[in-house]
Amino acid sequence: MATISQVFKNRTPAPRFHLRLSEPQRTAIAFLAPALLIFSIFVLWPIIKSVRYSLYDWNGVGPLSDFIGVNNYEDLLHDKVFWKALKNNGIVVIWSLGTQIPLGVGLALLLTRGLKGSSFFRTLYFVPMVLSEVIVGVIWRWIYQPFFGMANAALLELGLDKQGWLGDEKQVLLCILVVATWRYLGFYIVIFIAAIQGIPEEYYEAASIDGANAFQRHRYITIPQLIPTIRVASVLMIVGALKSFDLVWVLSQGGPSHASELVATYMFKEAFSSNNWGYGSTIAFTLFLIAFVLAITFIFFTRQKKDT
Amino acid sequence: MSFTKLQSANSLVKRLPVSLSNPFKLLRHMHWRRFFRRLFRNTLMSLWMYPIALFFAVIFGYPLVWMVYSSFKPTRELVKNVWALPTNISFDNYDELIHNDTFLNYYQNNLIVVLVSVPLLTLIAAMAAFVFARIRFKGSTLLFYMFLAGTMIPVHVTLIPLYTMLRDLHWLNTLTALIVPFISFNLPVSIFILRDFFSKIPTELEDAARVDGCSSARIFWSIMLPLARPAIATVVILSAVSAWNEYLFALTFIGANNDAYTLPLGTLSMVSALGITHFDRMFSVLTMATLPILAFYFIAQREIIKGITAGAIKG
Repeated sequence: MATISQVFKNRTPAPRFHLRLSEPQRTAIAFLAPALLIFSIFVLWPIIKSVRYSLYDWNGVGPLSDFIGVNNYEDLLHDKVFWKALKNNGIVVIWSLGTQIPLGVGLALLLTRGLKGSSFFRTLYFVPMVLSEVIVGVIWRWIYQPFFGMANAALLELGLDKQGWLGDEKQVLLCILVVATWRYLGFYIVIFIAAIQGIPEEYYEAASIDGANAFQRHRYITIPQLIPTIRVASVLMIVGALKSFDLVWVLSQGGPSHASELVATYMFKEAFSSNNWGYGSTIAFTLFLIAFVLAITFIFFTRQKKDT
Repeated sequence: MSFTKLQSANSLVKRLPVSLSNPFKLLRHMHWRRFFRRLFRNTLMSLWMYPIALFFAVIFGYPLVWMVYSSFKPTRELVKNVWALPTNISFDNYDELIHNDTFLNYYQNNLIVVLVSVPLLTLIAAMAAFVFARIRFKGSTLLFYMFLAGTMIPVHVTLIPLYTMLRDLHWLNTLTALIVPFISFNLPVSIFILRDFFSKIPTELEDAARVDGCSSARIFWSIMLPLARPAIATVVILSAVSAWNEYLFALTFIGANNDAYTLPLGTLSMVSALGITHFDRMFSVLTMATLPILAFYFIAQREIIKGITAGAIKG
């Protein structure tokens, strides 16, 4: 009996010098074409183009003529604002890992203990995730408002001094991080809830029979079982920190005096406010390299995990 | 879970009475001490849990509630006391807002962006995902990894070149400048979710169809797509929410044309135009801008939570 592919081949004898493709292969090409085309034109090609721009001194209009080689990259290495921004990105990562994982796991444990109305709480905790970061930013801008804001009103009520919040160089980053946690915590709670519910009930039963108390059950079953999810969450936080822009832009635009500057906001300002498009591209491409290295490390680590 | 519950309920009864018709008979056979001990423990446990859960509920919910009720307060009242509930509710702000053509235009633009980009994105992603899941060819894994790496790329990296490209195409300050980059940047996640689902569909159906002379395109359209409805719903919800909230492309590519502003951009410009003299109006703008997405969320919250988390975990 002829196989299906043979039937296909016999039905349409291919002309001599043409590429011979089976029907599924032709479909594959036709089906992949739109995605591949759009993705290469609007995602891959711009990355290559930004490498090119980064080698020029260019203000965005007129021809690309002022080739300066790696000068932009040398400038970047001595750019204090860039290092400050990079450091702030690092602080964002450390803060998210340090607050969102413990709080997320804790609240997820709380909501999986048969609490009445736990699905209501979960729905409520997740609400900020569906709001646009712009709306979240504007709401919190008014909470932090120095004259009539809720934060200062609360301090006055407690008999404390008013604070500058977003206007204060020392406080601004922390203020933004609190908002970021407010917005993203629900997301991590939901992830951890799903992971906890996936742990087989038998483990707990066996532990109970062996006489483990509640604390021991969580210490030796729940937490180890959650490690893969915690790892995924950490990756999401690191990638998210590199991508974060909207919230900072709405709350402080990276100010005052670069106190809350992130790499993304710095790049945006250089390119679209100061018209240093060449230098902006240098920052952008460096950002890409950092993301790329992190992605490779991540893939490497998950690969290793599978082998062992 | 249910099994353990049943067991523990069983253990409260010493010996099952022969007839269960009289529930009072059951009471006589209960381990009362065990029953009270368990009751006490369970209530005590939930008693310490509720304050914590409620505390966080207030933290997450209150800013939103505050935003809504502040929109009914005149500015004078707001300045005097930010916490207080409005003394008398007035809908004037809303009345003004729904007759404000600029604001309605923002709404319309946002709707257009969502309604055009989401179906296009879903279709293109589904086609590619089908190929990755079902048709083997040289370099397919490599191509797939290329898309996968796309989820890691920060959007900002491509902003400058995209700007010059869109300028050369004369797309700047039109909605096309939002839709096309949005689709390309959301392709990787969507492809990933859909491919995952497609590869779980058993191949027997497909083989049967192929024997009957179905082409791959036909298999995709008549078998795979209808079967993949849950995954498609996930992709649609995820991309609809992020398209509705999209801000960065709007800020960069249509910032110069107020007529093309979408809701996030428009809200921000209205809020800064209102300044600090019209708090009340500002809160009504915020409320109106969040209303559709909140309504959508409370109607389909289970699906939305699933969609948003699936998108991020797989991405």
